[in-house]
Amino acid sequence: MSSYLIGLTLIAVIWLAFWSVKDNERPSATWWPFAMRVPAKPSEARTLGSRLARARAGRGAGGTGHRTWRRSGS
Amino acid sequence: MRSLAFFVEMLILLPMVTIQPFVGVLVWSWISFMSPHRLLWGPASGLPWAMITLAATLVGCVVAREPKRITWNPTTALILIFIICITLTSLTAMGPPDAVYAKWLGVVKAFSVMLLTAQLLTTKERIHAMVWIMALSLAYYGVKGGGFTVIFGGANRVQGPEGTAIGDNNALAAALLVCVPLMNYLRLQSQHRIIRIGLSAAMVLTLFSVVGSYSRGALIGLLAMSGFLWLKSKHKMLAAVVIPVLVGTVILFMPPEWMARMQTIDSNAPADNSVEGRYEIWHVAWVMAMRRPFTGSGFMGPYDDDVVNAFVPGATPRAVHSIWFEVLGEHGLVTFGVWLSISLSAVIASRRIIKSASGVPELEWCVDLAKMSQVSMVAYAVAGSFLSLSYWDYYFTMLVVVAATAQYVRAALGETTSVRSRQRVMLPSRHAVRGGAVAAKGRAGSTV
Repeated sequence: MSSYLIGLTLIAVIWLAFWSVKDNERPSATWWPFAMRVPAKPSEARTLGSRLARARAGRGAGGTGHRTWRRSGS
Repeated sequence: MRSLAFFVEMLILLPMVTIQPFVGVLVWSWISFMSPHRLLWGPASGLPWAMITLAATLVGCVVAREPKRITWNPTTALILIFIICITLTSLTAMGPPDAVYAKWLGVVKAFSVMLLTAQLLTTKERIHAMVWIMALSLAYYGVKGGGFTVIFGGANRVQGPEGTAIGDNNALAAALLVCVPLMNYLRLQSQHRIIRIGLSAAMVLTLFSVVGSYSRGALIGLLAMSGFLWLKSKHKMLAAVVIPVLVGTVILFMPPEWMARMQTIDSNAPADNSVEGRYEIWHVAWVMAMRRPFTGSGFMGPYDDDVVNAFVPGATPRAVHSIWFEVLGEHGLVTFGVWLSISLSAVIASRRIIKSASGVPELEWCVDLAKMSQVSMVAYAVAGSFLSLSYWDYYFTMLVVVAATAQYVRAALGETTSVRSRQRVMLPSRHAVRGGAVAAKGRAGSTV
């Protein structure tokens, strides 16, 4: 069992060395066992927080980012 | 055959090291943590592979386009101060000069390479690769020891590789406890299902290996680590079932001899020679620190008959078997404070990571790494209380990784801010940014 484990470790180390120096920005056809989970994109429609974020970003793009308080009817 | 395979491996890796020094840091770490050359026979086992790798790495650092300056953060600064402190205490050491010099050289070499590691941990892939090499290095002993325990019903003790810091059964068990949370981080963050399953299996076998070491300190460490792992898990209800069932199954698997040994942990049980000897040497180390608070006895003091008798006449010299008392006795209160501060700086860094990066999908891996490194720190602090692993490079490299991750998070969040300000869009509050990412957490997260 030891020999198989050592063999596996040797292969893993060399594979890891190549993975750590490759350009990870570009898509690769090679299967890399060490690849990290891709962060899921936030589904903005689902959360209250995201709606608040969009609203705030929208206000910010329009100018001051602060809504002036007005009395209704004035 | 093993020797030949290792030669071929190094023949491929060493030229790479001179072009990509980060590979050198990986290979150095692998050789230091796992000592693969000690598992070989023939000429390959006797060569100074770590030194060859370090020389090639330094050449690579000069030649390659890599940062030439040390990355300063609280952890690396404290490591440098610690190197200075142990150098000063070694100048006033009371132990045999040759033994003191050999120990000093080994520790300074290992800690200096950590500064180089910090310098090259510049991208998330590099940080992730460093965690992988740490996990791979000890998973070998975890899987092998776990298989050994399962096959023989736990009848024999699991031992570490001879002539290394983790050669002792207690040290190996503590080392594996530190490794398990890192394996869990990799399981959480690995893209491929087959790798996640493999890591889960390796974690279970490593638990068998820990228990199969017959180490009482490791059992206490295992319980502490399990509790803290539950505390840091994302799905606490599931973890509350999985962790106790897993740990309980592993413990119930062990034979009556194992149970008999573990029952001696009870404070009412009569203390055996091993326990009494530890209490005595802890007392000696404490006296050393009190009498020489600025220098201690120096490296190897507690191991030397004359030095021990100078402080507590009649006491037996031996390994201190406690990370706390070892540093206290060998280097005094001041260096102990610096040594402790290295860990505290990493605790603060990990807390900052969790606080600032939680809910940001792109930085979720940093949060997982910070949480799991905290679990590893608890495992080291608890299991290390009964072991002489004070200068264990594996643990301190993990702290350097945490510090590098904290810098990565700071840079990433800073970048987000500056890009948004360039777009003249008012940056929503941190809570809003997090809120947008909350939905992703459910999908990106994994169990336990």
